[in-house]
Amino acid sequence: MNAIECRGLAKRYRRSWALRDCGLAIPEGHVVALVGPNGAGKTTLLNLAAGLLRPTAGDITVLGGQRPGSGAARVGIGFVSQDAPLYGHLPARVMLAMAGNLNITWDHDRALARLADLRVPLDRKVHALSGGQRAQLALTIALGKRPRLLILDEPLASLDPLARHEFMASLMAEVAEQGLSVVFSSHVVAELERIADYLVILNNGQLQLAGGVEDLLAVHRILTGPGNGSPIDAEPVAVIHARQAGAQAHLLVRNSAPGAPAPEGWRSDPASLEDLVLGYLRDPGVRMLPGPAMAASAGGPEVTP
Amino acid sequence: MTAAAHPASQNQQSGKRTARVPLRRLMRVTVRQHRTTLFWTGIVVAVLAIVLAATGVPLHELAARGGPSWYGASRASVDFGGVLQALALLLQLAALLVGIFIGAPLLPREIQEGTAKLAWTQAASRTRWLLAQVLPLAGLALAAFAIGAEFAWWLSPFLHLATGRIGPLSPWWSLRFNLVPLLLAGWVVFAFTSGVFLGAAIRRTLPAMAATLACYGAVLFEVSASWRMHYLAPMHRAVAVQFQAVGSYGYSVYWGPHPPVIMSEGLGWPNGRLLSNVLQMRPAAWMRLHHIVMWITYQPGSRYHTFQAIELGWLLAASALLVAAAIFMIRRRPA
Repeated sequence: MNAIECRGLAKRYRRSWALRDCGLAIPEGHVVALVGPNGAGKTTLLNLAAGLLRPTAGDITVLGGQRPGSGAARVGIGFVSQDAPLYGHLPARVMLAMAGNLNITWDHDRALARLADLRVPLDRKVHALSGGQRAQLALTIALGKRPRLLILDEPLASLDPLARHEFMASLMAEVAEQGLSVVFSSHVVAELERIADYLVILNNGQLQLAGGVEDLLAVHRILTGPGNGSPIDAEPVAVIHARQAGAQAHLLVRNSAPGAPAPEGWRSDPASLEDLVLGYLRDPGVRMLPGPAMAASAGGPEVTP
Repeated sequence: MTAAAHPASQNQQSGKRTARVPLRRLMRVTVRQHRTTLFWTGIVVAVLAIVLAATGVPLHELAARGGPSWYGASRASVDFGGVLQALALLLQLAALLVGIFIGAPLLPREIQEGTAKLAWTQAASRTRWLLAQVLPLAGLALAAFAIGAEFAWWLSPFLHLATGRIGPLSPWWSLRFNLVPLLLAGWVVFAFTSGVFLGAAIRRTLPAMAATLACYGAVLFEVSASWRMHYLAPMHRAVAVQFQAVGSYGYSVYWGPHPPVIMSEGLGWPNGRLLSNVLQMRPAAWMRLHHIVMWITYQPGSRYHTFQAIELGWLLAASALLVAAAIFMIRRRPA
């Protein structure tokens, strides 16, 4: 079953396309990082999945074929919008009770216990809470309805590093405990490796890369070698991004098969998730999608040292 | 794509999925969310009630001192005529304020602050959520009814002075007609739902408030100034005229216990056609010869309660339509 599935999905705001020709199938049970620069269409995609927007073209389903915004989808999805909007004039405790009244599958005791564990002052008004506490309250509300899919739009954006760490640690604990799927967007690239096991890169409103983190890391390498010449035309690799540093060139390449040997005269290192993300984001033209979409990379990008 | 790495979560409660969130629980959300607004509404209602009582008690004492006579009632109407006008304006304004400050910001505030994205991604559907936001308005309507009842008590010393003309002493007076308890409640409901509708359409707080002021104000003005007198086709009556000279004549007419609202009158032929300006200057003998009469177009005073019912009916129907349109819009458009 797929947590989110879309085919030919597109969304246009007045004249500009926020999302184009988006085909994606995210299987259930993953923690999915949706990565891309500002304006890439991350929020649009997540709002479409949450049923807050309607597609201009194509279609999107969630939780194995449910229409976003339908009753089943609203019950099964916990959504935290960008900036985690809450009713600021209400105390946290009342905010929780209110969320309970808006839901059917609500576990109030668990939600209260969670906030107590996190030392969020329940009787303080929401706007008087710190950014981290507000984010935790919003997450608690989303988790309180015991969703099967949790969608978080930039949950880390407003948090300092410490709060960021705590937020992610508590989220991971919930994921381990409840076995829910999580899709979160972020433009914080560091630390993704520890959190996400599935990566989706969105750039300029188009999907660039999607796949399990381990699978992706297995087929991507960093090649370091002489700065001039293009020695790798013989190899079955596609160069995703080339960077010139002094006399040396660093290439992010995608092997056709895992474990392929490095070409002669080049050093091959495993790519980190950060290398991979940055490499793709720097070359928005490259699209490497699983399955038939791989064909999109035929012709390959050119090395321009 | 690989199959799901983890088994489906145990939270899958397919039996409960189609269950609806009870409206009662959603209304609890509304009340808690708008507690401050409700508090201030209560204050305003209390102030209105106190003002009515504070001016009504001396008015009743004055009327009682005069006894159940024309004298008492007329003293009351002279001394309190100005107060009556001020109070009528105040009550008209109160209904407008409900639309501007309670109805209009309802949806734009949620949309602008982003909390709509929170509210509309919970299990409750947008339709039920908005219904639950609107239904507690019944309490407001009840408060309006109570204030209307107090105003009726306030007016009671005036009542036997009703002359059937348009003016503060007539129940048909345009500033007073819609202040009877049921109609005041109806106008408050209409003001509120107009605000909600415009908020859903405009989606920004201040423009929605301004639009509510303009639209509600325009409707109230048009209804009071003219539409109301056309709820039913007016009646016509020919009255014999005593002509003395060119342009000088007299007539008298007995209307019975319910004085009518005269909409227009003019000299005309017995068949109902009115005289042109030129013919109106004909000598009295010509008038008598052609049996010229005075044609009076009027709404019978006995239609008062019918007109009240008609106005309440369309107010409630329009309010229901406005809420339905608001629901349609928030279902169709993004958060």
